[in-house]
Amino acid sequence: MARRVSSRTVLNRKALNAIAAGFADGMEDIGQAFVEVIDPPDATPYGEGLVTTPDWGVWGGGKKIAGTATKPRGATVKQGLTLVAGEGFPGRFQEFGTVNHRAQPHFVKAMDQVIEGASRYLAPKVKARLARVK
Amino acid sequence: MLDPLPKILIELRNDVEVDALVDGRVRGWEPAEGDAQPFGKYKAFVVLVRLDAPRLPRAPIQQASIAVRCYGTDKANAYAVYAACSDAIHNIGPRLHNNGLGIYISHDDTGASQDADPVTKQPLETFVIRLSATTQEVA
Repeated sequence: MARRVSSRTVLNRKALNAIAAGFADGMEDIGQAFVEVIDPPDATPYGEGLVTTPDWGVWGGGKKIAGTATKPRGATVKQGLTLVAGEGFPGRFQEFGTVNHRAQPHFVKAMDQVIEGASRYLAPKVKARLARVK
Repeated sequence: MLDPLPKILIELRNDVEVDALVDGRVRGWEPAEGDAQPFGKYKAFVVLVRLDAPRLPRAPIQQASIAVRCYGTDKANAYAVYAACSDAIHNIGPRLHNNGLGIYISHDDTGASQDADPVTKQPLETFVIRLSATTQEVA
């Protein structure tokens, strides 16, 4: 006689999917918050430069599920959920400086500001998703 | 509020392995005159820049991020300079400096990122030190 799949097991699987979806929603908000908080030195109205607009993207299981950023070559996104947020190529020279250009730190500051309060983005989204699980 | 960067700079400058490679050329904020040289005349040197140092809301502690650029005479030398700097500060426990700054712990938070200066093309390795330190003098 075949074993019956218990309803409790089915419910747990649905909840796991809801938790992952909630995390994905929350990471979208984190990426958006980072873009709003960061202040690139070349952003208007102060000047015209190469680093003016940050971007973000969320990848789930290797597939892009949110955001508009292109995946950086070095980023590994095959498993789980990954949020990548940042600036284009010259960004690291702005952040760290070069021999002829002083450092203009702005990226790590924005990252610390957003990451420190990450739970306030994640918690409500996970709760909302779990509330819909029957 | 106490700045941790000068003390980390001193720690790197006083480290025997770092000094053997850069001969005292550990700089804060920007390279000194004569550090940056054109191709064929590269010198090894280190530049530290404080990225941020947010304070905890109540406890008198700051968690600073300091970017370290390790320039080398070639790619292997740049990595050797990075390795010496990383060994000098990674997982080093509580220490007290003469101005009252206490550093609880410091870590190489990112590992080395290989790069080259966009103007001189000198090889360099970049990493970020993350540390927890006091914001006020301690005895």
